[in-house]
Amino acid sequence: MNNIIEIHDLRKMYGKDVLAVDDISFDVREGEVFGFLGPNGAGKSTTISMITTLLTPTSGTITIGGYDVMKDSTEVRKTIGLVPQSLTADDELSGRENMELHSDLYNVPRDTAKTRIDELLKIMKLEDAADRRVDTYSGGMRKRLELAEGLIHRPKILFLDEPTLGLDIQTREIIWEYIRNMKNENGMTVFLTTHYLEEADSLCDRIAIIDNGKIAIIGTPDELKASLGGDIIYATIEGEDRTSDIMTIDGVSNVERTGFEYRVTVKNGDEAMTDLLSKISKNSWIISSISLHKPSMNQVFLHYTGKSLKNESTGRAEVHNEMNQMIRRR
Amino acid sequence: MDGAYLRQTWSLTKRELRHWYRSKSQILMTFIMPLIWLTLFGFAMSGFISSMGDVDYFSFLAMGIVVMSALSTAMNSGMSLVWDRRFGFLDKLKVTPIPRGVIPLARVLSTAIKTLIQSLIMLGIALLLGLNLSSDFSVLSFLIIILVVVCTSMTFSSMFVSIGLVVKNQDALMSINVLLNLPLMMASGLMFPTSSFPRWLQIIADLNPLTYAADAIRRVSIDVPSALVSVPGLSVGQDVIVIVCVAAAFTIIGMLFAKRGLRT
Repeated sequence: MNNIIEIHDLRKMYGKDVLAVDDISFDVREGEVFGFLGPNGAGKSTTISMITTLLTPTSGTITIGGYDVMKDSTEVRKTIGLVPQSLTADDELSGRENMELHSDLYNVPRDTAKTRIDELLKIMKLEDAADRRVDTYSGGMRKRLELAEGLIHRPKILFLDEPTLGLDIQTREIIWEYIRNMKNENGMTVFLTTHYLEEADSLCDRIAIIDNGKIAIIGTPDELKASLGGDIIYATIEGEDRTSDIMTIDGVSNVERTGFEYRVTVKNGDEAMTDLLSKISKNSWIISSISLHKPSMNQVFLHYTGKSLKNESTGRAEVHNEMNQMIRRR
Repeated sequence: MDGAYLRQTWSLTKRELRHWYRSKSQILMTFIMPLIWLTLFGFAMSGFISSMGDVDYFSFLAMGIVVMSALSTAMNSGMSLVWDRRFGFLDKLKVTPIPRGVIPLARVLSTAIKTLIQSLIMLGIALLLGLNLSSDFSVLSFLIIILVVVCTSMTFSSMFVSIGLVVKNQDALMSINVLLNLPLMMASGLMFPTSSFPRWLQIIADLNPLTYAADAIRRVSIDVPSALVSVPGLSVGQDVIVIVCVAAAFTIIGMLFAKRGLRT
């Protein structure tokens, strides 16, 4: 797979003292959903702003689809679409007018634009509200409009900054489904930040966690979880001590026994589970329970950043609501 | 300049115009302010001035007020840019592949269109209230009024959009607007003939594009006694040339400013 985004030694200083992004390097592959996670203030937004040409890096290079972000910013801008975290659609225009404005700015051929606008409004379930002013929309509708706007020019890479923050389950489902479809059908690359770790886990092919301006770890969700030392199998096996027997299974690194209960630490829980089950049936051991536990993205996040996202995300949601109110007051 | 450039510019211009005609309070305000000047100030002053000689001050002032809306509307265009920045719309524009100059240009054009419509309506109201056009008022005079109003509007909207690009805080911009509004209005030939100004004030007024604009449209539309001409050194044609050149220069400066002001 080709790299569609290549970032080398990217650094951003604010003033002389604040180092927001500290010489990070990573690649994003074409056609993948790439999750970019980190606590607030870790350098996430700064990095996205630099990749999307909004902010000039202090040093380092960013290449998107072969174009240098600083030198060929216009080409880069044609390649990418950004769905910002805040709701930025023009609320004095209708949804359709906002879409038309964007198709003009990206110079999408007029007849193509027309069908595409209808199609996107339909997918985002906004066709009934299309000709209403955006200031009559709910938060979820506005977010879906943002997403539709970001897709009007069929970008090769879509940047989604907290696409589902503060949204109801239904809207989240629509957005998730659409992200998956875009990826599968159009081979679009998606660069996603989110506060919902389970969302990142289920959507992303690869995830990078950024903390204090540095990339703490990067890999597939499974790799990230495995990096914590592996999965755990809990089993209750009657009869004599089977510890040494279980230790012979591939990938098992540790077995603890209390009575009939065994706690098995293993690198790949799915494979070890199969082996363990076949061992059980071959030796006719009597088991009363067995279960596989994989570390969650929450644990991964906590491990690499020392912070839990839970409290923060509620704080952020409040800020978000405040902003919505501000927008309505305008 | 290609088709995409025109399409992008027009699309953003359309957006500004939609904001304008959909905001009833904004439209109301742009008419009420000049109306107050015209009726309260105009009638009061013209009674006072006419008592001292045979001067049609009301007509003199009315033509100044027609140009005045170029200034107040331009100030709003700088303000709307600050709001766009604040609500993230500007960042969204910056991510699109539009040339940076399109952002101020669309604002300048939309402001010019708004101003023109307002000015023509003001002209109509002034006529109803007793504005006396000169006997040789012609289609050409009318076209010159349009040209002058559009150019003056472009000059000031470029100026205030540039200020809006640099001053990112709406309170600061509001103060700057208030600070500039009265001096620009008073130190010009907008309301009084500059010939009666003290020398130092005349020099300032001579640097003010509003002086030339008011002077030019007066000379083509009403009977101005030579004592009330603000720039007697220039013919009407030269007046207009100055106005067009200043407008072109300011618009270009504004677009260049955008390249800098929109970088972070």
